[in-house]
Amino acid sequence: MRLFTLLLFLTLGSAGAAEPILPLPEIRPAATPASRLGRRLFHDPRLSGSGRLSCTHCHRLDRGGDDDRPRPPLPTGPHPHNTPTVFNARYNHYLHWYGDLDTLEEQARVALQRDMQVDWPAVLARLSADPDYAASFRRLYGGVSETAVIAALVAFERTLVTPDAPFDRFLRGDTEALTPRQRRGYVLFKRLGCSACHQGVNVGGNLRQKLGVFGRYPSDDPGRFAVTGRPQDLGVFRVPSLRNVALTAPYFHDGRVKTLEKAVSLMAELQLGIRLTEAEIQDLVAFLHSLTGRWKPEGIRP
Amino acid sequence: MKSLLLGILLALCLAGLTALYRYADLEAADAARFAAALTALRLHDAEFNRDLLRLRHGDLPHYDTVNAAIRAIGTDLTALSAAAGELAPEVAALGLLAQHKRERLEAFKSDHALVRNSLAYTIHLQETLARRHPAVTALGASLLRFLRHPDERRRKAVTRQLSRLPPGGEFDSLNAHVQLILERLPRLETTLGELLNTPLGTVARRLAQVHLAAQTRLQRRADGFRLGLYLAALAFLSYLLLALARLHQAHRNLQAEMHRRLEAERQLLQAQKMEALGTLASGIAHDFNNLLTSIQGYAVLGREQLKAGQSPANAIGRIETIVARGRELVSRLLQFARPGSGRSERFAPGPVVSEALDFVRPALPGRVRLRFDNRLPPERKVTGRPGEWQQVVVNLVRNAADAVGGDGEITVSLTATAAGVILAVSDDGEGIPPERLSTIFEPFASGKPTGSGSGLGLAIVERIVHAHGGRIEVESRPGRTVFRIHFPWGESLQR
Repeated sequence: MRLFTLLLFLTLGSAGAAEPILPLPEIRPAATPASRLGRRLFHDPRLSGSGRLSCTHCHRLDRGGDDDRPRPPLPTGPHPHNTPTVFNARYNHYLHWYGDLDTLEEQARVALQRDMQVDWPAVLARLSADPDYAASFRRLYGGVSETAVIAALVAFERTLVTPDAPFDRFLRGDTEALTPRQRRGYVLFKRLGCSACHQGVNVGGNLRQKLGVFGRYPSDDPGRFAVTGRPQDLGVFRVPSLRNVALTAPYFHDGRVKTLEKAVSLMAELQLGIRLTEAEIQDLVAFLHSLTGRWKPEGIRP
Repeated sequence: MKSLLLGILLALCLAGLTALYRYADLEAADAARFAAALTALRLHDAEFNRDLLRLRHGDLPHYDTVNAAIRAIGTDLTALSAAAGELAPEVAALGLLAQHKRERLEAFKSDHALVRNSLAYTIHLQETLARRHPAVTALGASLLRFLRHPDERRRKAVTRQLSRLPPGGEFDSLNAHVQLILERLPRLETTLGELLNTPLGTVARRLAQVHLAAQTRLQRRADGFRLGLYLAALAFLSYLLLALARLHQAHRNLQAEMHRRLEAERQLLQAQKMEALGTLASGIAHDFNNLLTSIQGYAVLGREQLKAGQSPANAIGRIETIVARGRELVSRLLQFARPGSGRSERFAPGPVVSEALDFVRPALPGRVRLRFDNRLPPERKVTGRPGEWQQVVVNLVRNAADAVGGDGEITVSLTATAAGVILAVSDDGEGIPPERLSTIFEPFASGKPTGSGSGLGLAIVERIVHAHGGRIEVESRPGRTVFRIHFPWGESLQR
């Protein structure tokens, strides 16, 4: 009987909650010894080949988990892409603009290799020589190793979540959490079709889509084609997460667009074949601001 | 050689059993993990297919659950590979199917998002534009037909309707979205079909059957193994019970044998005592004769006194005294002849030895002198069997008497030491020849002529002394032979 009630509730519940966006889990992972070690590594420039770049060079935790530059400068020249935020990265189905990395571990390894020019033997020697690091690694992983460094970084990244955005509170039933304009923006977001791609718990980050369905995006980036070499992947990118999007300007894979308003109108034009009115843009932007959450453990708003 | 072989055999058996045990355990754990992962994979595949259909149906507005399901399938495959064993090729085939699904899912999601969006927007435009141009309504009808069966004929019908739309503004927008639907919907349907027809679930189910069959074989083998162990344990137990029964029987036999021996020994002791008594008989008879003669003398005296009118009271009194002495003699005789109770008691050795001497004295030849030198304080007592002490004294004195021949002196003494009492019997006879000294305690090693004794005297003495926890020293030279017997004070005695 109780089972039946439960089933009934679940059935009705799921039918009632057919929102394309799911609230972020309210879980705020507590800091663990591994995450503390990862946090230290995350801020440590000694991980890079040059000894001057740490992960925070691009992923600034006080600037929304990315930097404010179109493309971060690296010793090897500017990075080909705008920096995606590290916040809520654990909830993405895949990572990077091409959506070619499946796990945080892969991402950390590739970023260290490609962007930070890590010299593993030298880094491991440096970390082993530091008594603090050496002790932590020995206690947690039995010693300093590539796998251990990656594991600690990932342990830290998994704590970088921003639950409790106004929109999450709205989804959980607090209708007052959004302003009327934001509510209008959300209705528009769904009606126009933005939510066809920007859906799920991370409002994106879980599928790939061609950039420029009804028009051409002004860039020569081949998109996922660069990874697969298949013609149908030309101009295909991972749909980015819109969580904390108000804090992660500039926008798009090349950081070409500086404001949220322009990004919204460009998206409508290229992906939906619609020219938005100024009011519609303002409503949508207001809604997007409600996706800004809070990164509590360290007390800093991302 | 034989024990070495047995040892090697045992070691081999042990190693084999251990290996079998560990191997079976490992296989069972792997099998359980494999079965669990396979079940999980089938469930996740079912979830995946269900959510695809929900997406297509428009009931599910996001891709998180299909993504989670395809990820879970990946995790299940990793677990399966780790526990696959000889089913690795089948798991690899599953992996290929999953990989195919994973790739097709990406195409599905991209097309689905666009079609879904364009459909929504097309419906929205239908509502707003229908009033402005009749072609919009006709377009809607033909598009609906296409949505139900996205084939070539219906696609052309929609294209025809599209060409009737007026140009410009939102009509262009409608055109673009309908074009997109025409282009992507058939592809979406194909992709969906491919995804649903990828036989991941079917192959997994077949693999589960194969695995179950293998499991059953394994189980049967395990059953056989268990039966073997059970039988081995049973055999071992039976053997143990048999050994126990045998041990019990042996114990009982041993006890009976011990009892028989004790009984025989007691009988032997008694027989020897009676034998000693026999050899003493002539002396005792002589004593009795003396007593009877005295009685007769006093009886004659009494009768004459009666005749003379005197009172025979004095004579009768003497007769009573003599009779009392006779009764005492008989009592002592009976006392000695009585079989020992076998129980130890506390007693003063002096009176016991003295009584034995009184008993043996009459049997000694006339010129043999018997002295008793008791140096024990009268209150000192030993623990032992007085009857056996007396047997020892009688035997030693008889031997000494034989040794001195018809004329000599025998001295019996009792001396206290810290450890116990020394009973010494010495004589001034010819002594024991040194070559016989080592065998005198053996039965039938008698130095006496045949017929004068059983030859068991000293053997019995040794036995009694040992049973009392004591020991015997013999010292002999011509003119002096001493048997020194050390009896411990003894709180208890073993027998």
